Amino acid sequence: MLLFIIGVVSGFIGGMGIGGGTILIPSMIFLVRTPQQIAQGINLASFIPTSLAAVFVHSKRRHVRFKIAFLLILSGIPGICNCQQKIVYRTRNQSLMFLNMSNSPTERIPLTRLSTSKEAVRKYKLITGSSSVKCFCIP
Amino acid sequence: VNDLNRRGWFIKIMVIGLITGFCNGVFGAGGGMIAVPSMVHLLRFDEHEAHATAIAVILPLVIISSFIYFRNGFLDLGKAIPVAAGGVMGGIIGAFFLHRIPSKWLHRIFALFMIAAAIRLIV
Repeated sequence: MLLFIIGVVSGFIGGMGIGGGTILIPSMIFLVRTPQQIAQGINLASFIPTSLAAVFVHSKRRHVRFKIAFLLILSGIPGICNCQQKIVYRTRNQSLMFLNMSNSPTERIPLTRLSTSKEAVRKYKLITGSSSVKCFCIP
Repeated sequence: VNDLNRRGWFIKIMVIGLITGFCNGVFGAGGGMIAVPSMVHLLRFDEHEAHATAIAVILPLVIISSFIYFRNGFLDLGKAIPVAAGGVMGGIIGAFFLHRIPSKWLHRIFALFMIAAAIRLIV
C-alpha cells in the first residue's frame, strides 16, 4: 500500500513533467529502505507505464512536439550507453557487497573475473548455498 | 513547422538530448530536470509544451535504461509493479492537471523540485 501511494504521488509529479524521481527515489530509500541503485531501477521501470499514460493525455492536447522529441531521443541514446559502461566498469573493478533478506551485509566477493553483477549473484549463491540473495549494491 | 531550419537548433537539440540521456541513465531520474529548462530557454518552447515533450523524450530513454538496470540486477520487480500501478493513476491525473496550471506557477513549482533534487544529491 505504501508502495502504491508513493507511486501515485510520484506519478502525479512525473505526469506533469516535473520529475517524479525526486519524490520516488528518496521515499524508496527512506521509507522502504531500498539501496540507491534499486530505488533508481524501480523509478525507471515504474516510469514506463506512467509516462505512457501521461504522453497519451498530453498528445491528445497537442502539447507534445514529436519532431523535436524524436531528435532529442536519438541524441539521448548515446548518453545512456555511456552510463551502462560505467555500471559494468564499476562492478568489474570493485567488490560488491551483497545483502540478504535481512538486509545485513553478509560477504564481499572480489569481482575480478566476473563480467556482470548477475553473474556475481550466481556465484554468490553457489558459494553460500543460499537462495535468499535479493539485491546488492556497489559500496 | 520550420523549427528545424532555425540556426543552431539542430546542434542544441543534439546536446540537450545527450545530456538528458546521460543524467537519466546515471541518476535513474532527472532527465526532465535537464530537458525542461533547456527546451524553454534554448529552444524557446512554451512551458506546457516543454513539460509534455520532456515526458515523450524520457519514455524511450527510460525503457532502455531500465533494461540495462534489469540486466545488471538493479531492478526489483516485486516493488516496481505496485509503484507502477500507482504511477499510472498519478500520471494520468498529473497530465490532466498540467494545462490548468499557469506557466508562471509551473515555473515556480518546477524550481522548487529542482532545489529539492539538489539538496537530495548533496545530502
